[in-house]
Amino acid sequence: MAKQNVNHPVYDEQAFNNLVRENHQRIYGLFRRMVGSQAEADDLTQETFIKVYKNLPKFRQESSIQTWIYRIAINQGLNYLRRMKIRQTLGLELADSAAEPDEFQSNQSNRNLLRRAIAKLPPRQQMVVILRSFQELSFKEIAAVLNITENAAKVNFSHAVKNLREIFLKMGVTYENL
Amino acid sequence: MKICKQIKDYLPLFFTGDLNESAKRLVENHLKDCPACRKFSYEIQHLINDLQPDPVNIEPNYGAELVVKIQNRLHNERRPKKLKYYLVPVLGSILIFIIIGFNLMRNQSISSQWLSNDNNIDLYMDLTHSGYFSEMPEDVFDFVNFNENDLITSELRQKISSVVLSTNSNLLIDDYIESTAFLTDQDFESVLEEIEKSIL
Repeated sequence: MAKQNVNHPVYDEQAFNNLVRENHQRIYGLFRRMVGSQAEADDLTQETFIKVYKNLPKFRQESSIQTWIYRIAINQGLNYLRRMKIRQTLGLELADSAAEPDEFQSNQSNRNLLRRAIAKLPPRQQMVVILRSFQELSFKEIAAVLNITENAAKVNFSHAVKNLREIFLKMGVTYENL
Repeated sequence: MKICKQIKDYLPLFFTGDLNESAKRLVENHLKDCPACRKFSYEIQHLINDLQPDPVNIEPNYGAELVVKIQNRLHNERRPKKLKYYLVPVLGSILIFIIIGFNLMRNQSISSQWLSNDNNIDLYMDLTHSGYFSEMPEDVFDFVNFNENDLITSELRQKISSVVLSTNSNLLIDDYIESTAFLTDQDFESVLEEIEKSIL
């Protein structure tokens, strides 16, 4: 069992609260881009920080605490995306509900189409696209938070973009007028 | 052509500026001579242009509210639980003791005897997934005769499918979905296929 590090910089409650204040925008932003709905993004953000709190004694400071928190958030997100996929397969969820921009600040219809198309990608590809394009992480950073090689992150991104093109074609969206 | 496939793989990274110099030159030179790849590249370029950061509006007081919500949840979790929350684990433990006691009286191997019943394997897997046991004893592994990954994947496929077909319990289904977190993408796709097959 991990030894509790009571001298840990964020072990006390006040320090933990500061950690939430400093990191919540990045984490909430990630979930907002992933799920579209404010309520679900808020739930996932809370879950992430509760996991952070519970696992703080196990944090070995091998990476920065921001990277570590991000990694927890991404696992949380991947889990959510898989849950949605299974629930959609079971018919318990509407097929495009993960991508419904119910309260999202966007009036661009192609943006909405893009979100729907991204929601159809395999979970890990979705995550790489969101991290690279929306969260503007470098492939090196993506590799660190997903615990994969930089090359694997690039390959995932490349597959994801080509798959998006296919999904658009199936949805009847083309870029022929370019 | 093989080179066209390679160029198509490179194109997304070409437009995000993540290709090294030699790969970049390869793409540029190929696009000059290949109309099919040039057309493909327009589409990819357009897609990459669409994949731009979308500003997320976060209320100024969200951070402070979040801290309060999290602290409330942690506070609630630390409070002693009411009797009803202990009831299910206690009853589950009593049931297990009764089964073990019964088998001891019959002077046979406890786990193999118990697990020889298919229903009990299901019960064991249920209890394992719901956190009653932290890990599976070795003799159970011997009995089941799977390697760990096979066990996880095949059990998951079967369990999710059977839970879906036999109950409408969203909570129970969610328990199994949680278990897919550590599966590889390939295994996860197999689980999805298995569910689809079960439904059809």
